[in-house]
Amino acid sequence: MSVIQKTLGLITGKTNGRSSKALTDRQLIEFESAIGRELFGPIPVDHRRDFFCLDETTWVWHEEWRDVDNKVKTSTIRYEVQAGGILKVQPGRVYKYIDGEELENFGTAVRLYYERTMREVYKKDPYTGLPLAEIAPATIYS
Amino acid sequence: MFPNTRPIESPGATSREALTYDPNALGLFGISGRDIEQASQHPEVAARADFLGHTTLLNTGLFDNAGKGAGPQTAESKPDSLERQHELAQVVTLAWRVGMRLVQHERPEAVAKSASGGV
Repeated sequence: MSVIQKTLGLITGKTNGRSSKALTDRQLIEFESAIGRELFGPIPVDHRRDFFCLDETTWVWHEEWRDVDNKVKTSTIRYEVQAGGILKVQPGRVYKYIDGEELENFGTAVRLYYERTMREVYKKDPYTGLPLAEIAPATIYS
Repeated sequence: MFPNTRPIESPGATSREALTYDPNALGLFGISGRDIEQASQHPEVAARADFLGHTTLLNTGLFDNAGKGAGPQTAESKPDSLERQHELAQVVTLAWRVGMRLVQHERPEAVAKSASGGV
């Protein structure tokens, strides 16, 4: 079971008794996360990172690494989209509405995530929603 | 960690993608701030809004200066300043719309294509 599957299971409370649709949804999220993890530059050696949109109002940042004693450490942060702001939920029941640079970075990451996943996972133009194959090059670059 | 990890803007971006990050160019859904102001009158913008299914949001003007963040908080900035409220509303709306788009439209469609042998 991959890190992202474990994370999804922990967050959603769903384990292996999933429907085939749920499995496919997870695969799609894994494809999206493969892009999400690249948005923040190089990942340190021995680190594993995931960043993905879990559902309509939840974004997940997951980082896993080994400490000096070679023990696996993980950190999962949930960003909940609420009407009044983006609530950051960290382990240990730490809650905070993000602001300043973190808010700006989150917004940039979401925008890049959308543009790249639309093109690279769903093969659609992020502006029009049309399949990329159906758009003439002259239209794309005009 | 996320707070100190700034996204890289345009790794290998095409010319069209690069335009996205110019605040004077088109925003996330190809709609600039000026377009939003005319959303109810402009047929093309209205069509895009219909495509997104969230016409009312487009009329709020929250995507003015799309692609340009308000920048980090400075010592002088007030917690409830108009600029910060605008930035917050922009990010909240963006995240909500992207989540809705992916979860309710793209993923189910991809699942359906997968089941029928596509994607």
